[in-house]
Amino acid sequence: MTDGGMRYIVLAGNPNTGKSTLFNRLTGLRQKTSNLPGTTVERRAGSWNLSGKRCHLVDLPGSYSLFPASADEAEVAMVLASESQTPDLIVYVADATNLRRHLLMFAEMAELGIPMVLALSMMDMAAQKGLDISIEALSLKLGVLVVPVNPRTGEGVANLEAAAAKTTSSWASTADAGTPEQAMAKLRNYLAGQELVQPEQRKTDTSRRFAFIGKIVDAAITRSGPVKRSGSRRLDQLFTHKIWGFVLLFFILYLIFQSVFYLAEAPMGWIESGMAALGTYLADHLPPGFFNRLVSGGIIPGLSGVLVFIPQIALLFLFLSILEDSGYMPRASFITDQLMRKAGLNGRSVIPLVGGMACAIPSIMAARTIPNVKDRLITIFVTPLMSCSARLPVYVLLISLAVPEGLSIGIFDARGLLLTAIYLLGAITAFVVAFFASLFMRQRGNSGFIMELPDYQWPRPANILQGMYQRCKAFVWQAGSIILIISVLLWLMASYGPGNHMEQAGRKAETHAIQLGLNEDAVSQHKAAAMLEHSYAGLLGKAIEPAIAPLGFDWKTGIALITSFAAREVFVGTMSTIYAVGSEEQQSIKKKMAAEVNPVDGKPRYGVPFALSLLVFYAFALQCTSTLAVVRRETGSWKWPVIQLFTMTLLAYGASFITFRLANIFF
Amino acid sequence: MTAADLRVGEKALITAAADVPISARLMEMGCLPGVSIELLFKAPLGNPLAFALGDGYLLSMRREEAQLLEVIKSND
Repeated sequence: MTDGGMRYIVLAGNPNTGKSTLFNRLTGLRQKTSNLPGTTVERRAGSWNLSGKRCHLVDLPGSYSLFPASADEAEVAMVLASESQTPDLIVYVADATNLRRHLLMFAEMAELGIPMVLALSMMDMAAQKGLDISIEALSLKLGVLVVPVNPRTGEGVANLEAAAAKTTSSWASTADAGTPEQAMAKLRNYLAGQELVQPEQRKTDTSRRFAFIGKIVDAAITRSGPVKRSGSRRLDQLFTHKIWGFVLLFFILYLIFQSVFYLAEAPMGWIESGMAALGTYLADHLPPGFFNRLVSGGIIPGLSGVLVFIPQIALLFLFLSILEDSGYMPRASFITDQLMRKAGLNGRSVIPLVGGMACAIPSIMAARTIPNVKDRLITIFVTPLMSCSARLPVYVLLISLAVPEGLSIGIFDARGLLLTAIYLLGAITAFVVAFFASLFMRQRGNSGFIMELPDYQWPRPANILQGMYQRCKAFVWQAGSIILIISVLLWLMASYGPGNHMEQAGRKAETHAIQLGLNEDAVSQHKAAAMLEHSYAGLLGKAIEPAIAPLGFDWKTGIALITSFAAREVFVGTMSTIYAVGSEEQQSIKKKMAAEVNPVDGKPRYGVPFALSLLVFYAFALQCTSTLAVVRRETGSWKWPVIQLFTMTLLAYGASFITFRLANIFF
Repeated sequence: MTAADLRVGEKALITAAADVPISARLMEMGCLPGVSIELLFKAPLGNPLAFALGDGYLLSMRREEAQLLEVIKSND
């Protein structure tokens, strides 16, 4: 029982049984996502009204066995084996078209002695396949109440509720002679040591359970017609075709990437301008002072930096959910598995890598479905190398600095070509790093690519929207809090400096700018830039200048690099403050920047080598605290984010250094 | 012979699974002795393979995994 005496019920079953649709139907809109500490996997929970009594309902990830093969499956075993809170009831959802396999985990769970109810979905499909299922026989032999349900229409849900309300103790028959306590101890041992249950023992147990299930299923099911082949086969001939399979895959990915890119643009603009307006409003209406500046200068821009990602994350998950729900995703993994393996990855890495072009955060979460630990870690490791959407504004600014407008190479626009090249650089590097990482990493776990290819089906809008909402919410709460903290910290560092150097420098710059006859905007920008130079952030920039000088960067770029850590696109804002590149004075100040000469070699300081070097740096560097946080959460330790940060920084530094040296020869 | 030796469209019966840890997973996914298995199609690069098991549910696995399943060809 949970706190307050509510009954604690879990929803379990294999993937593709309509379990999530059933969950949505049972809980209505009364649900929340909770991320319990200590676990690395999210689970959905809600409340279910059982004849007037509110129950706590948890939706477990779809799984094939209690003995987990992947992180999302481990979740199921951990919930059931929990020492502190054992569920009061398991509602097990099984697909009636393939009862034998679906009942295996049912049998594993029944041995634990937790009361169970069996919900049979896909009864209509079973009838189409010519299967006649006797509910009474099944119920009698299994020792639990069996209820046919149709999650999509809601048919049978009332019966399921009645059955769940009635079932308060376990009468399930099992194939095991042992006691529930022994079965539970076995499961806990397995979870604690992974290898404690010998594979041989597990095979014997599985055979025993299947033999038990086989007898029951044979008695309860009569086949009234011939086996009908589903229309899925014809679709498979297309989607797994030697040539068309790949053509379609690339076309779909291209479509998703483009849509995430263009459809998100407008809402991202609204969020940014909305937050900016809110910041201005608060700055004007809150009493002046520290709190006012903290809110309008630190918290609001920080929040904006989090919220602005929502459109892209929502869109990315919209498309990925459609692909998942339709049954296409397993086929995409199926056809690319062999290619991915050559690079040390897995067919299932396709999803995170493609998603990485929008945002690494949800993509790293999507790597959860990769059962092989090594493949999953390498996928998580290289996903941030894919150029994400946050890098784009930085790329655009730097490319405009490096390549003159209108320059073309052959029929291609030179700026477009450079942009494509930088995206390719990231993707190719991801595969190269994956290859080397696979040489160094020890193989852990053993499942390669054993995967069900479910029948294709039309995506269900309610499920897709639900999933989208949950994931956005998870992102805002988890990554959001970290971005916010860092932003506030950076704001403090950029707003304050030791002693009164900042004020003095600001006043000096102001006087100087007024003497030059600049307009009001330019004067305040010059003042802000001078004050930033003497702030803690500015001092930090100066401090790291010797380290980044070989890459062609000065202390001002250093501040931008540091502030970029909250989120990469902060770079653009920081640069405009530091370089005082305002909206009105842009042209002349750009010229001034171009004219600024490096005293060491007499070449322009912010020329082509600088821009190219910084471009390469941004392509490789892991300047994203949210990514680090999510990797920490997904891998369960700081080890991986630290190695990742180190590797990618080294890569960025090295590549940037080489780029700067080479570019200096040519430009 | 093993399931990896089947040609596309060939049907067989599973007789045993090799004594390695992955076999436990294969069995949990329905690859049991006595179950019918048919190679339906291969991935474009020849690996992994897609099998229809028993009543016609589709399971994909790599060639190396299919080699763990001992089969005998059936005639229907």
